[in-house]
Amino acid sequence: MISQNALRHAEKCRFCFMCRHLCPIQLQTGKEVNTPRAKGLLLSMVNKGAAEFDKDMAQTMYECLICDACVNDCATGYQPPLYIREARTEAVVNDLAPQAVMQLIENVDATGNIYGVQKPSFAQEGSDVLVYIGEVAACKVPQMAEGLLKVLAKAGVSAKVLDNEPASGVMLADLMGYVDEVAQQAKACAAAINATGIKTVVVLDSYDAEIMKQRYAQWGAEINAEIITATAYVAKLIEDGKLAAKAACGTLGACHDDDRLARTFYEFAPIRAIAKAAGYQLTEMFNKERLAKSCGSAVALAYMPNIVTKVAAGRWDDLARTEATAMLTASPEAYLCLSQATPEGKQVVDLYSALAE
Amino acid sequence: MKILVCMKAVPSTGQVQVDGQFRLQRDGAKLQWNIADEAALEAALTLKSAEDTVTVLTMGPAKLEDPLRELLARGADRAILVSDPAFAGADTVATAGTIAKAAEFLGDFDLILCGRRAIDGETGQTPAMVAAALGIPCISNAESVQLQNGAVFVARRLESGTVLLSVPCPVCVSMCEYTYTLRLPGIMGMRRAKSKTVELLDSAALGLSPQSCGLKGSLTKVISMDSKFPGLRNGPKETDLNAGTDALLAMLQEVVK
Amino acid sequence: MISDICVLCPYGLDAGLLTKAVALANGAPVRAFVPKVEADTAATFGATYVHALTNVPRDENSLVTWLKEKISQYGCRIVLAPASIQLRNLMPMLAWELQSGLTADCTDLTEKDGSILQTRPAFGNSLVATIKTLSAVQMATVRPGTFPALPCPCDNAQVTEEIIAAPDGRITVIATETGMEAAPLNHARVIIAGGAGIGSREGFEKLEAIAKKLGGAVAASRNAVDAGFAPYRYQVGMTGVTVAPKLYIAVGISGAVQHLAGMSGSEKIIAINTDPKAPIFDYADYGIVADWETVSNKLLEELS
Repeated sequence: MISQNALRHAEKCRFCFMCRHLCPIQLQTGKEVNTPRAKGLLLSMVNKGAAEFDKDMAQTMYECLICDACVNDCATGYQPPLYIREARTEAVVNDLAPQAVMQLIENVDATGNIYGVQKPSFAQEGSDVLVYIGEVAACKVPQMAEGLLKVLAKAGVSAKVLDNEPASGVMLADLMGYVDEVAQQAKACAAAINATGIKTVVVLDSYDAEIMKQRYAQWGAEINAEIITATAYVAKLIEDGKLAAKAACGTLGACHDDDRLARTFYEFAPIRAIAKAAGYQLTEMFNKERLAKSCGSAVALAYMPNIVTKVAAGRWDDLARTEATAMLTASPEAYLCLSQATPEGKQVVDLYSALAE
Repeated sequence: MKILVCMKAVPSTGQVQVDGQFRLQRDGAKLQWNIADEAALEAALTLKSAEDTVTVLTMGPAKLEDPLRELLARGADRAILVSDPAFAGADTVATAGTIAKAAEFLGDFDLILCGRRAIDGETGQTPAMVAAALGIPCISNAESVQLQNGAVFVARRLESGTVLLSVPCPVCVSMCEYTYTLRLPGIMGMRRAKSKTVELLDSAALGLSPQSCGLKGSLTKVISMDSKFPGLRNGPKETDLNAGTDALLAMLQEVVK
Repeated sequence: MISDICVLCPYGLDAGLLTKAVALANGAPVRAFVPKVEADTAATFGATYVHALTNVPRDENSLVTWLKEKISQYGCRIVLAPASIQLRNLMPMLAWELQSGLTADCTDLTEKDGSILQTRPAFGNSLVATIKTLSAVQMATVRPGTFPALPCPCDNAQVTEEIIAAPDGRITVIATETGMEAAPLNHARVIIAGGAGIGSREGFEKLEAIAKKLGGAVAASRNAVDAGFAPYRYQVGMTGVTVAPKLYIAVGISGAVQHLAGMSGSEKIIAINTDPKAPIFDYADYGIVADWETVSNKLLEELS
């Protein structure tokens, strides 16, 4: 049952073609159903009884990164992720979601993350800030988590990390929409954070930061602390002179603005400040800041590795149009995806580790 | 334990249309559940144990069937739509009479939860009238509600402070809007709701004559309605900080004294 | 011609309402139900019959049956009460028992051919309805503070002492907390409301500090609440609380229609915003085009 609100967004589409040119999945697969407007049209047809919401349609609804590029650019102000998330809910409720997605949901049920493994612990005691590591960094990009903790230690920040850090709910939200099961995870996570009494939470993964900042309060899962992205926090430490800039390393790099920093927080300067402090000389890709092309998300990579690897390659193509040899990122999700398609002679750089060294 | 939650669908935008008889036009308007009623439903779902049932009831047009089904997905056990063209234009007495009849028809409820007022009419009268019609007490303006040994414990917000009360069931309680945040529908709830239907009750089912409900059964009549919104005041705009602050202080002094 | 008017103030006299009732009655008797300590005051504001109540139960449910009998006994045709939280709960129960029409939270009452025409705002002040009662008894609750209180001594006021029979015992008051952190929004005389422009929770703390100095309350626009700067209970507007204080200070609020709906009934509105084109200025009695924080700091300084 797609809500009236979501349907309104689906039916607002004027078929202007613009989203075809920026949907990272459509750009790589070339499939017409992989445009946001096609997904809207499909749901609109279902609503009018002209099409059936079947397994194929459900599959289509999962071929989207929820990167918000279409929202950012849509001239009529419509928001495809709104109905795409609801369509995913519909798919799960009716057992129509792809098998790979159902497996990931089962994994989240069992372990809190899509990988079905116990989340490695980065627990440490501290009192200034609480660092929220997140599932992706903990399970797949541990060096970035360690890098961030080292950077904070270097700056004299006493950082606490929870033992048994609860999931933020963002993985489940991408898999099955904003449903009560997600809100329950959010409440448990907010309760664990609030129990520490620490007033600043530094969030490593911008996907976690997004759900905490934008969704938690409306679900009754308020966090009684300031939520700040790790990039913004570290950039402030640099600005305040608590972290010394490193000597130039002689490498030319370009910063990748990840989906959430680019289009939820509109946060662009901090990552560049970190890159400079880490010794990189900077250039820019053509698609930057709000228009930055997505390189994929960890959740999408897990259920459609082939497509997301192509998407990541698409982002490397953007870098190839510059003189840069290094793709610079502070996002564990972006790091994971970009690593799937690193071209010969190029490197993806985890900025926290680079700054910590 | 049987809990009844009374819900009202209200227009969710500032654009309000009235018809020739000064009835709010709900047909074209975008509707949402009244937020205080959502708090009442969340309170009910929080109180509910495995053997309890939560019934949601609304009075309104047939198009509320889907929004009611969504409440089933959020955890309500039964959903009732009290709907009949004869119910249109009801004032609070006629509305309360119809809802009380429906409550009697559905069986004995131990607890009736409502929102303290709706954001459209803002009368806040219906809960107390329903309670009076059913012969049970009504506690208004509740901030929290708990159950213990068949009695309801209510924290009630008054102008002077908070009062903690206990009342044996059956009782009607109306909730303040900011107290409980209604949970989202869950996957499990949506699956359960698929097999449920929204039950319809019309005037015939409730044995209500056309004279006793709707506009005809109302004891008040709107004789005129003006749109007075919003009043332009076009006051002066001060750009000098000091002058502005001084004027502000003077106005404050007048009021605060 | 109005036969008589009954004013119910069992929890405290609303002298403004009594004044209005006396004016409406235009010589017909006015009956006031007030706590015993206020019996003399009721007479100075023009009540013809004063029912001096003792043993008033703390919960109004217990008063319904007693009042119904009194109203029937005296054959009252018009029953008015202040729209306090307790009486807005009591009056509907009484109206049901008497099978009378009841209008909530009126902001004006006028007499026409023996009927009382009741004016009330609805939908966040966006509509103002005039309502007539069709039943034999006409009832209304009236927004406190709507009418000025003017002494009009009634020389031959009759005072009857009434001891209210023991309550029905269903409701037990366990505890009362009078020490409130802040005045509830809809009763504050001064409200200082912040919008998205405040930018942070810390910003709202500054507004709290000012409100505290003024004995007022803090409110917020929906954008500020959605952004997490203030809790939902602060929200004024279409989907929040409706307020009508003496003075409403809108700080960093642009003035969305939904917000205006919740506060446009305020007596005086002051807007503080950096954007001189913000719509809020059109709906304000006085505007200050300046950075809210600078104004707030200056205000705090002046107030301490």
